[in-house]
Amino acid sequence: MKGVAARYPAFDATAGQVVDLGQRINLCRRDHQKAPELAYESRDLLALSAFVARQSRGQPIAIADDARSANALMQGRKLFNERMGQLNLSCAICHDDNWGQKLGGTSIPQGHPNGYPLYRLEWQAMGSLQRRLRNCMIGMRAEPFSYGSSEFIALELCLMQRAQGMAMESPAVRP
Amino acid sequence: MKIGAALCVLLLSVIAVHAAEIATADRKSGFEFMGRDTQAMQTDDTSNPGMLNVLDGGALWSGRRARTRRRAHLVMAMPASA
Repeated sequence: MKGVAARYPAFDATAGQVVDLGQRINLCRRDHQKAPELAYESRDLLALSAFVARQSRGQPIAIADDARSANALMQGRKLFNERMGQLNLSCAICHDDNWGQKLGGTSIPQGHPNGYPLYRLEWQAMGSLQRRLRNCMIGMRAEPFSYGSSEFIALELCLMQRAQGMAMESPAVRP
Repeated sequence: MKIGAALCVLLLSVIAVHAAEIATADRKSGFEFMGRDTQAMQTDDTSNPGMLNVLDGGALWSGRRARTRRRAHLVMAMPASA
């Protein structure tokens, strides 16, 4: 499974849409193992994702240039730059324009998704990129998208594409 | 009038530059924004809590769930020197 996690989200021909690593694992379970799908953020799905992603540690993020993913990528970029929530912020305002500055005493990072699923000290637990994105959206006082929504998959794709070539660190540790 | 227009163009170009994507050479992983202790926690597999999930995942992957999960926790509980 080396390098696999570095290629997701990707278009899946069977599903007919772009899927992330967790969804790909669930598709395998459903279609090849006839096993029940695992819930988002469940211990088992995070564990399997971490096991697969660990094998890509040090590998460069390699999102394929796939015309079938173009719409999702475009939607993701739009969401990244779109102002949302009561604070009227966008992802780009913090993570493109103001990275390295301080917010509430901590440095604003560039928002790269190269370590997921990761252990976050604030959570005292392992979590997915979507959980982190929900945190951000709640911080912006926006209504977070739901787990597995097309919006989140698009945003994940945009973030991975934005970090193309960066080394995977899963399972990373973050404050 | 001309000066005003020129100023507008200048201001807009500054904003456009400012809102640009991060240049490839300037990209930094979140790792680089962390303190040394947290970095060390990630780098050392015996102190990285995420490795427990990786071991759990490995057990699920090979279908040896319960037994390996117990063993995994034992391995992680051992001192780093062991």
